[in-house]
Amino acid sequence: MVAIVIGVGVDVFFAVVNFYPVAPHPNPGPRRYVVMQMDEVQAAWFQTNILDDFNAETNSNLEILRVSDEEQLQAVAHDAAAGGKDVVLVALPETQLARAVASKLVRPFTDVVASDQVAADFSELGSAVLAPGNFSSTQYFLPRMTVVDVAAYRVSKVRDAVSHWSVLRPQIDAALAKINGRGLPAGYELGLTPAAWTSYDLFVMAYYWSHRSYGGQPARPRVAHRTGDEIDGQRDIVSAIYRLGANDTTIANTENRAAIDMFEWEALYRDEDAYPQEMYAEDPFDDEAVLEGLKSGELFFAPIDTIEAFRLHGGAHETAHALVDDPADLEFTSMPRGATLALDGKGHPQRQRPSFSFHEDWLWALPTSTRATAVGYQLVKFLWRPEIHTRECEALGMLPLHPKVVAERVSRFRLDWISHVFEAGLEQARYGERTPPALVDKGIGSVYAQLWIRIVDGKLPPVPETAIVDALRTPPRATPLAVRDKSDVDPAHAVDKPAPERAAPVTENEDWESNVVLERVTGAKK
Amino acid sequence: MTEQPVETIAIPADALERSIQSALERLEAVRKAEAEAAAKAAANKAAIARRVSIAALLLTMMLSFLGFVRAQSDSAEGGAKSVVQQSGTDASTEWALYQTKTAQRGGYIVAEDNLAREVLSLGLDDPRRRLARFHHHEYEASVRALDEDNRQVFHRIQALDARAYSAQKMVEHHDRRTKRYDMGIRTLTLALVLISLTLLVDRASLFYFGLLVAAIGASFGVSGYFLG
Repeated sequence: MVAIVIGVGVDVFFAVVNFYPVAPHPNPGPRRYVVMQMDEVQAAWFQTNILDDFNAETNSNLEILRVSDEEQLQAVAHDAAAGGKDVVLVALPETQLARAVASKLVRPFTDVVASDQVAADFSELGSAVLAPGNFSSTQYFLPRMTVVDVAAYRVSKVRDAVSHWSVLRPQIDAALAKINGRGLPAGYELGLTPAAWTSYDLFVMAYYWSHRSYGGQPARPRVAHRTGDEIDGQRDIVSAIYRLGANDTTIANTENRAAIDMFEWEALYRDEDAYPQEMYAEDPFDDEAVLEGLKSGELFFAPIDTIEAFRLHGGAHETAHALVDDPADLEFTSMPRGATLALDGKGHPQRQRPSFSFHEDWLWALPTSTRATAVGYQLVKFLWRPEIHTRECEALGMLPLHPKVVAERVSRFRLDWISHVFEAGLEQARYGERTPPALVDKGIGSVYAQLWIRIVDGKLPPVPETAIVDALRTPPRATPLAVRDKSDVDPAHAVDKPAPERAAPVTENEDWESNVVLERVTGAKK
Repeated sequence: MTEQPVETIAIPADALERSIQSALERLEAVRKAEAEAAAKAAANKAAIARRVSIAALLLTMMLSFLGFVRAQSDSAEGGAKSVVQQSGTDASTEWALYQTKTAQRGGYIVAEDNLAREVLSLGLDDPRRRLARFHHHEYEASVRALDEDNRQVFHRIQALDARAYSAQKMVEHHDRRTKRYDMGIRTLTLALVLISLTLLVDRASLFYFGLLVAAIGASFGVSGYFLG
């Protein structure tokens, strides 16, 4: 009798299923959060195109909790957990890992998933991608992304410089001769291949642009990099020293040869007024300042990371609007190769090094407070599927890291400008190094950032070299990297600064046929 | 052959009668027992036949409904597959359009470069300069229009790629579900065979084994429906 009842029940079930072929979803449970640094547009895209797909596939209820400043990440994660929100993942830069572990904000993924399982689940990524997540001999963190700097430049302005820079060659030679006694290297011509630019090419363009008037506007400096004693400036300044030959060992000694070479260049830029005044202001000239300079057309060349390159160019996804008036005039390449001001007997730079940039690894961390450890782990696995990783790279500008995606990048990323950003980034990554832990742990970044202020902002002359060496001999005390203990933003209402209204885009470059108008140049053609 | 002499035993008539009566009673008892056993066996067989019939009916219904559900899942899988294919085809078409526009754009860029070079050798009052300026504006406007077109084409391709990916996941989901239904159908069919054999071999244990197999098959079917 019981069997009959069960059998009838099953038959009825299948009969009903015929009319409702899709099984009802169980309740996805309470809302859970992923804390990430993103702007509003990126966060909206990530929620719609990544988290919503993940939620649908796994019957989860994840939402992004966005912060606009990376220094807020830990504070927001902590405050959210304290407020009863279940934060399942936090994306942290490697510079913040030690602090997050020390404050017990996070715990290892291997606490909740066996090491063998983690290794098996992420075996496709290879050890190089997983390595940054190794902490205390365990897979404490899982990889999120790697950020590298590329050089962004205005094509039309580079063309102009290539066409006309030689007008200023005597002045450029004179400026350089003050230091190396000769001027430009033997047989020098402004490089026509951006990927092969050197420190000299950048100086020639910076010098030319700082004397070139465009659109009737006064000539002014057009090349910049990040400065100030915070992570952006620190990384830029120390990577410039590495670009001239420093390494993890020599960087500890502030009087190392590469540092002297780098500060000579920087002092020369200052001496020739080739850097904008904002770089010497009290507020750090950070990522946003560089982006704003490129956006407004004030800067023609600056280092930015691949994600900012995508933000600047726009068009990577439907809601990503260009921040510049003319994205087609924007190009990307690897950072110029390092070359010393000092020349050898044959007139060539004494020391040269391939393009260099630090990698900034970002990692997924598992908050100690989360009650849904499996969801966070599942999301990381989901994000590393080749298709999802491609989707993220293409829309957000994350450097492709999945070996399969990297191998297939030509067919996966077909837009010219996207492939240019990624090629420059991958080239940069090839010759670059991970950000040395000492940059933050031992405060080396802070020391050099303060030395930059002392030497460049302090207007120390590039020659004689002894002035720079003396300044380097007495390094300042390092200041700890700012990571806020408490969030001072309401994450639910965190908003970026509103973008200023821009004029309607100009439809053409009006300088294309005009005669070159140079300013502040003795004996130059008018 | 010689006849053996018959020994005559004198039995009382009533004793004989009782013996006969007793024998007849025993015979009757045996007959009754046999009749009862036969009736019981017949009843048992009828009961098994009834159980088998009911089980077969339920299993056949189950198989039938499960077949419909499987067909639905299969059809949904087919639909999702066609979405994948269609999205791929549409994306390829869009890429072809993108490439055409990019080639067009390249033509304008080359023309602009030529203009810029020519202008360098022209005097300020040269009328060809004005013509070059006219063309320069025209080419830049065309390049911008093409860039805008390409932007839209690219976003359409992104949407198609996302659609294809979701559909592909749906295909995989339905494929897993269809496989589970298939396992259910096969197991239920085996159960039906086993239960039917019960009629031939007249073994109740086979019937119960068949029921167990049927329960497993039904579980496959039910779990297929709830497969995540």
